[in-house]
Amino acid sequence: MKNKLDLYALTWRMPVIVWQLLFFVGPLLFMIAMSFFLVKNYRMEEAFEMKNWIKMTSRGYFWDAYLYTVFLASLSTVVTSLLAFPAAYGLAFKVSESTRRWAIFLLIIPFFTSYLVRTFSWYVILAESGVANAMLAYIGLGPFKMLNTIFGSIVGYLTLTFPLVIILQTLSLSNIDRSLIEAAQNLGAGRLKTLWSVTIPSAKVGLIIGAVFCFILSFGDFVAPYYLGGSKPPTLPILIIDTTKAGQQWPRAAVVAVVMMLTLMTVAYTAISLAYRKRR
Amino acid sequence: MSQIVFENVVKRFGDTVAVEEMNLSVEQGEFLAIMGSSGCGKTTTLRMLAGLETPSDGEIRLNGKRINELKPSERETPLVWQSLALFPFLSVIQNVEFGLRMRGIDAEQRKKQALVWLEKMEIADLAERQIDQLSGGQKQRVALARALVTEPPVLLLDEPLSALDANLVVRMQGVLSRLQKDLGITFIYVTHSQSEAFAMADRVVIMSQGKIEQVGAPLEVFRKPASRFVAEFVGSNNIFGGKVQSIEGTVVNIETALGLMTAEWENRAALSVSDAVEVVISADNFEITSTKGENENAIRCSVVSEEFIGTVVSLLLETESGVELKIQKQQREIAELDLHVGTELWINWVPDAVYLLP
Amino acid sequence: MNTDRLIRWAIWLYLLVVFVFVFTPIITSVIFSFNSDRFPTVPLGSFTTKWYQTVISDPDFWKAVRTSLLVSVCSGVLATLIGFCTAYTDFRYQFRFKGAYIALALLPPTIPLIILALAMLAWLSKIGASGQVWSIIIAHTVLCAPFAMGVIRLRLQQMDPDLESAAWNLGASEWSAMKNVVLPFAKPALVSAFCLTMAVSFDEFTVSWFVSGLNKTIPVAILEVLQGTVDPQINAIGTFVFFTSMTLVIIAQLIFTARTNRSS
Repeated sequence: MKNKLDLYALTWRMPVIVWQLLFFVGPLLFMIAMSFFLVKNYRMEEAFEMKNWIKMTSRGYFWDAYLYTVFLASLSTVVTSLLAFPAAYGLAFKVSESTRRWAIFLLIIPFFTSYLVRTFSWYVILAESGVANAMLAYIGLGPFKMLNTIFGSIVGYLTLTFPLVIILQTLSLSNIDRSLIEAAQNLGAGRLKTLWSVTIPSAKVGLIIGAVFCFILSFGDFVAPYYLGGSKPPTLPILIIDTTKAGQQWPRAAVVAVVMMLTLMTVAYTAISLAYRKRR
Repeated sequence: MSQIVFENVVKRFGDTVAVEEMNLSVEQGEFLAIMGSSGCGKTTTLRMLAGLETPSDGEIRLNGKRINELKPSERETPLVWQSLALFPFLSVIQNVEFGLRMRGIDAEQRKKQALVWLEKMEIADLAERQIDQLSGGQKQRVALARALVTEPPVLLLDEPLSALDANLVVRMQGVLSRLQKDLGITFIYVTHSQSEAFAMADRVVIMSQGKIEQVGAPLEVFRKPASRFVAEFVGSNNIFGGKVQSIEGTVVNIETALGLMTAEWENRAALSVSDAVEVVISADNFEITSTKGENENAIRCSVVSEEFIGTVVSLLLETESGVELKIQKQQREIAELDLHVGTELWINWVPDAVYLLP
Repeated sequence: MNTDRLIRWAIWLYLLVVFVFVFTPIITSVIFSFNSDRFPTVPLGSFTTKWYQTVISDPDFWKAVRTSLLVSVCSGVLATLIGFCTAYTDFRYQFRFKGAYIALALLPPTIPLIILALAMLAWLSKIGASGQVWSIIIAHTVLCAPFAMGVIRLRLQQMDPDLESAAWNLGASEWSAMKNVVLPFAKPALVSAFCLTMAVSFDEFTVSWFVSGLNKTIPVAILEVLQGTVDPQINAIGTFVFFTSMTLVIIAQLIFTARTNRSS
């Protein structure tokens, strides 16, 4: 493998660099810059002013939205991870190789069905007179208010993230060296003790990566909190949409987006360093 | 003029030196084996010849012309790869045709020529098969046909037999030897296996840590190792340190761990009394007897272990002073001695059997 | 032993519940697309195909289908091309800052779509490229290229690294080795990557919604219907989208796992 930079090498190396700089790094940097622009008479003016930042960060509803979004995304991460774990554990240890492969295949299917359509289905199912309440009524319960609640949002987030988290957890659990677990049991550790002190620490990295993805997806999703959660209070993504689409206030939307990115980077960095801590 | 010349060739990868100041000439029509353990630089040498690595320094010449800068595709040095590197998406005949296709030869001519080579390799009936339908030996033959179809002056082989089982290796050795004689072209054969190199090569190059330790005919390398490394690498040698006691004509008396032993040594000028020397006695140069024999050199031993390798028996003996000796004998020769672990016996060797490392 | 069996049963039961949860919205949507009630619930109304008829007779729907197909085919091709270049570079070359290079190539999926949507909208307007069909294509190529890169990189991983050198050794130039060895070897992955990225593009709505202007893709059309009232048309469209995407994915899967012992 030679390391010479010739026409041939450049032909393969350059496309992604050019494309990503133009249409990935460029947009993100421009968005950061845009958060300092001004809007006058519905027209954007390139400037470097802190106005948008001051305006957004001094408003109560922004911080309400921020805390609510962090709260929802964290709740979604905890709930999804906890609900996914028994399923992943079962798929990794209690079923045959071929069953596991089929299960993972089935779990990939939802990625290729429209998330919007699935959300609409939940909307219909969870509605006041929807399928869920109709079925509950048969056994004499309800009706419960499920739409426009945190419960509704969480169902939406689960629709988005559940299959992915199960897959990531299953993969990391099934990569554990079986002899470790057998050794622990051989040394007299009980089931729960083995799970807690051997299985989970061994799969830590995969479990944390699953959780990080879940957090990123939930944090950035507007569909679940909007259509199933009722958007009161709005989350940050909803704020971006409202500010962009209705108010034409792109710079203020950019402020929200930059805050979101900073938050996500902090969360991802913290989680990843947690994942790789003390691993030698 | 030699066909291939390496002159002061150096190859560095970053800080590590893979090949150090190599000087080597290869004659047209020679079967040359380059031997050494992994990481000794033998494969790098071959890859430089094929143009897959560029020398950091020095010059490689083919028929007197410098080829350092030639691209791999501009050389006529086809390689038979250790992994074989057959194209899995092409059929057998398409694989063999590949080199001709790259040279722009028309389809009909290509096919004809490829078939000729498939026939020579006795696999013409497999022409339309896919690569993954072939056995190891068949793949080997396809790789050979693919490399030879352009009728190159040199064929490079990089451990081509390492993936085959022992029986097939011996058979393919025969195929390669005959092929090389018939074609009269140069084969450069890289291997870590002594038996492969010694069975086929006209000359053997032994490399260690990027340097050539010895170049010579197989028997010469075997009987007259140029260094302690070669003596150890070739295996089945007993090596002792010693000190020259006296020199009488060509007879040298040496004090060693086996006691005082007599050696025949032509090159006495290089030696003087009380020189430190290293003594090599090949494992097959000992005689075994139940009583002390007539030879000048003899010592009493007991059997530590024995091992059959086909018709050959490998013995590990121990002298009374605790020195271990490796000995190899034909099973027939020692059958009547009825050896077991612990059996006491005498070993004898003639002064001619003692070789002094230079 | 008895606890073991109990645990096993509990896990099977739990897995069943999980899969029911995951597939409920998909199945419900297919069922309700044939259900006559305007607000679907149990017990079901009568069987009908009227939602499909409404959808099919709607010229806006067909316009959206055309836009969606155009966008997904173009971004599939572009993403596969870029993905291949990147995967091949990663496979073949070592160089300084390669880590940064790979990160640059793989990062887009970790940025929330809503942020990317806003950034794209702003940037594309700035350079005068927003509101067009190809605005969506550009944005989707950024989103999809990492997936293509992943699929193709996995395939190249299975290639004997000597294979390319062997072609040079037999007289092929680098370009010719690319055409005669690397591309034929990677071909199944190229088709898979194309189908996969096409499916991803076909379903994406956030970025499309922001940058598409008046050129609605199907998911954007769905989004706009959703903002109005409950309309079972969505189920009909959703079922249509579902089968399109699944066809693409299954083709991709079949080609990727099929043994490549066919002659090229």
